[in-house]
Amino acid sequence: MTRQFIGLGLWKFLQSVISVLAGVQSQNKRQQDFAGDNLLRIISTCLGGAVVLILVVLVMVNMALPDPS
Amino acid sequence: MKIRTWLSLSSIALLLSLSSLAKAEWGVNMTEGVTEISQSIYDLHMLIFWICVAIGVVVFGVMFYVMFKHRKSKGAVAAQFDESVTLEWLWTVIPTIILIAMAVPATKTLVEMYDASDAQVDIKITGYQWKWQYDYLGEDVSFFSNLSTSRDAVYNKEEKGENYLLEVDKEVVIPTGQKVRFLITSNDVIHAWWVPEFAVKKDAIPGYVNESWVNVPVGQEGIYRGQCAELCGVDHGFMPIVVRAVSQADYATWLDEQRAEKEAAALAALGDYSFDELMTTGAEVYAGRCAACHGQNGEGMGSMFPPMVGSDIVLNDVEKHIDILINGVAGSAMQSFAEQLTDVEIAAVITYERNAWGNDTGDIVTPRDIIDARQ
Ligand code: HEC
Ligand SMILES: [Cu+2]
Repeated sequence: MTRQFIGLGLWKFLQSVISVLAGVQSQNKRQQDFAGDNLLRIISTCLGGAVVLILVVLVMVNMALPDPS
Repeated sequence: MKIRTWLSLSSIALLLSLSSLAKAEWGVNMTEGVTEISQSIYDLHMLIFWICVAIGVVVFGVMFYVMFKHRKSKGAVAAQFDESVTLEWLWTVIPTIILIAMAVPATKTLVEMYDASDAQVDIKITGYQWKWQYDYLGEDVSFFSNLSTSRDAVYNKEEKGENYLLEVDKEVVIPTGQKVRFLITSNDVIHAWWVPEFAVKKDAIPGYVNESWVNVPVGQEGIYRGQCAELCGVDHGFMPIVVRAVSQADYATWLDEQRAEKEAAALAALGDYSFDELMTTGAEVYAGRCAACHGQNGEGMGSMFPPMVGSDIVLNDVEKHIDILINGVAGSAMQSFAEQLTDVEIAAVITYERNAWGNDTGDIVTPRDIIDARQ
């Protein structure tokens, strides 16, 4: 299972994460992501989505806050 | 051809109405205000407004163009595809970029608005049903600010003035060129202290202190008016705010005057007053401070506000009458007037109530009685 997931490669994984966040995905890719009983892959994609979301919020807030002086 | 004429005519009309909008005399747009913060809020508002206009024009423009170009009478046939990843990405990414581009400057302004540190003047503002109290912290100056529009103007028995319902008996005075911090709270229900030209609107919540601040630039001395902005009872519309921004020198003079007035009032309470003097002052105080609840002629109002005419306390119990004025009635709208009125005014209004509208008790309550009762 894990090997199959890692076998996807980082780029594919990131693509899935971004699709999770944006809610945009092609039918093909969706079927790939949900194919079989690959629970670990779905969970790790969602976790990846959460991490990216937190990073984005962190960066945005720091952009908006004035420099502490 | 016809359609083209119609289109150009209507776009000319649109442009004309937009340019008259820009002249702002119409008064529909939000105020630019007088402070740096109010200006940046206004700029943000206009930026976002024009972004929305642009989006609206593009979206509806494309929509109407497509509807017209591919109309049925020209034999258009609907496309039948159900997925376009490129399009979906476009309509996700573009709005996200626009949102972020708007959020960054908006957050900057917000952070600035909330930074009430390093203020040179601290004013505690307390909301009451239905008036404001201003405490100049560390200055020993404190007073209430009441609506000064007469009840007759409210009931159309008198011409309504220019500042109808936006005028008070005592303005809150602030210096220009200094950061003034407001500590806003309430004594009874939730009110909100709002002066549009300062872009300050803060809830006044009982048991909780909210902060806000203003720095009126030098050169912008003048009168700024506002209102309570949180529905707080029957006289919600009758507790306006009037701020007078003055130069720092004038502000110092004003503070001295306030202290001198307080001393003078304490001295005045020791003087002697005739029945007629007390009745005259009492009538004024009653009309300004009591009539809103107890009726212009002491007739009371509904079941909530008892009449003064024929009241047992007013007719028979001087001590209780004085006590109610000084301590209020806990848990009711009848608040303590100890801080709001001078000894002379309290004595006068009690004397007035005991002798007006056929309450002919003949009682005279003197300022000295009030001084004694306060102890
Ligand atoms: C915000 C409304 C309000 C205002 C303003 C107000 N009162 Fe009252 N007053 C009340 C209410 C409500 C009561 C009834 C209190 C209770 O006993 O529950 C009351 C009670 C009284 C009573 C006792 C009457 C009785 O028979 O029990 C007197 C006297 C009185 N007020 C005098 C005054 C005077 C003088 C002023 C002006 C300086 C004044 N009030 C202003 C609301 C008000
Ligand atoms: Cu209010």
